[in-house]
Amino acid sequence: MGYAVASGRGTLYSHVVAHHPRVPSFDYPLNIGLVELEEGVRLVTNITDCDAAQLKVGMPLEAWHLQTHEDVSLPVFRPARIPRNPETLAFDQVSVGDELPLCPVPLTPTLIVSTAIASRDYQDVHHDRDMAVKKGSEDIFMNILTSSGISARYISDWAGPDAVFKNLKIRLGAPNYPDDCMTMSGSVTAKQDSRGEAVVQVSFRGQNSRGPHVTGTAELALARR
Amino acid sequence: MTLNYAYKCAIAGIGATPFTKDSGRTPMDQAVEACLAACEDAGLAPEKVNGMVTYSAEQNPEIEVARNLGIQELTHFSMVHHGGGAACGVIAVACQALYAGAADYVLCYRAFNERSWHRFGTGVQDRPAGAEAAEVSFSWTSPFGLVTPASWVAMFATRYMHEYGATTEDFGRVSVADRAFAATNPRAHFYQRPITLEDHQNSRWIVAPLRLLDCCQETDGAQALLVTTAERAKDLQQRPAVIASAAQGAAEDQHMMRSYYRDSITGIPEMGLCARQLYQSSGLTADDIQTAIIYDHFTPLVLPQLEEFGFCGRGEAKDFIRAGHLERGGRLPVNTNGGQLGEAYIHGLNGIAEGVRQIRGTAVNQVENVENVLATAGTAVPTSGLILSQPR
Repeated sequence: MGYAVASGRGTLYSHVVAHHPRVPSFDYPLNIGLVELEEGVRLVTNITDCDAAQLKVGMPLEAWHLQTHEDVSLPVFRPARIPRNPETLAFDQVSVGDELPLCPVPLTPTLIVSTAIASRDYQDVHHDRDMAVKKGSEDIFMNILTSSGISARYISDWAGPDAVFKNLKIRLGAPNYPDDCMTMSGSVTAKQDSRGEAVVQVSFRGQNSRGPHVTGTAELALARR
Repeated sequence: MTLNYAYKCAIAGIGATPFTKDSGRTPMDQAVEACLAACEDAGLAPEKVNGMVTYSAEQNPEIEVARNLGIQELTHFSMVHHGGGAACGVIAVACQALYAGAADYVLCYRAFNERSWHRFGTGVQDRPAGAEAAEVSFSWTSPFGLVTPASWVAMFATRYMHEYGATTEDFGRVSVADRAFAATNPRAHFYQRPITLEDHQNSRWIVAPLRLLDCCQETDGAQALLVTTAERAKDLQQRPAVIASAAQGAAEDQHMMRSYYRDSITGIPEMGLCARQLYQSSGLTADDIQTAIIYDHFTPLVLPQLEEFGFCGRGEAKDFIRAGHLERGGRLPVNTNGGQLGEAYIHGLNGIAEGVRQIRGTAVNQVENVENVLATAGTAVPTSGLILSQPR
């Protein structure tokens, strides 16, 4: 007998969504998964940061630790971050209805503060909690440029480095406060091959625990094969 | 290993209370009524009973029931583990006691107020954590909200759907078939209340992919069965339902409702183990079974049971069901009493009583030319099964 330190990576082997009865300390509907670790062990756990409709057998997952009490944490899983696509998708490889893989963006205070500063946005609500609260916000929150940048990064991670953005439209909703997670999802909603350009339209959404933070569309020019 | 009590014993009497949602009586009162009714049905004085078998989760100890029945001495008494999984196990153990000469007449019973007192469907949500193995096992699942029987079964259902292309409508068809039989059974809670597949699909989620109409009822009531040797049964007043065989099974890497760690979780190997023993010891096959009681606490696990017993191939239960074979007039009418979805949830014993009525020819939804009836017990737990046959 021995033990191995698990990588924290796994795939969803099966899943349920609990609605009834409602047990204190859980939020419902509650995603519960049977996760197969890449080391071969299965465990029952919660699948966080995605909707029930986004649960799919086989989806890649990554572990994180939910602190439930001062001295207790539980290993739970969320959709695994997608690796950046090193090859650019060709227009013919993409079909309307294709789904982009889910991608979680953990919203740490560091991410919110550093991205605001990096985008030269020195508004206090993005780095100073006292001032943010004084101005009526619950906490510091992510700035618009970062939401836009994360959206573009999500789409280009899928499409590849040589995809050309023709436009990017976003609409903001629920704020991105710290200690939450925004999960990006998207799908191909149109294809057009005219005017000398082959363009695909992607509709996307970044959802945190309060609702959609960002929704939008992007148009990308892709090379024909 | 071969079971040596095949065809040696019989169910000679059945008795039950009304099945209700709020009995207003103690479970003991109901246990006694059901046991007396089973003896009266057989034409046996209760004092002749010298064996009693029940199964875990039963709150009426056999010595208490025996005293209330006026039984003087008991030479066999046992409690079979794993709740509904023991429904046919109590009969297997009764056969073992009878065939070994440890008893002459054995009462098997189940009585509870599962709806009005302790609601069984709430699961283990209020069970305190502990260091003993039975409690420790829940620490792998309860912290994540997987606390009810419905949730434990739902995990198998999703994987089964993924591998075999079954849909929630296939689960619904099991429920519709049960409720059609319940609709014509005056003893059933859902008497005269059939459902459509649309009703099923519109019923609310309990634990997706399980809807309300995939889940059995919670019932107040009691059921008792009187078991004796096939020889003694001939001298009693009912046509004996001969126990062709009865068997128990727990399979490799068995857990209580959560055997999630096997290579495959879409079959029920412990039920396959029962099937092999039953067929081998009785000499019967799936082709010899005219009607069956397939344990239906939750509809999804009816499908792999049909496969484990060879009524269809692996993953093909959905096609078997879509063809209407579980329904009235089908190849294998199932749960002709309405099942636990439609009649009552007495942890499988009421289904075995229905099997006895099918052998006697007295079922309200009687199947024609019944020679052998299969009954199964609770799935996902260590389980059991039996085959009842016409007397030879």
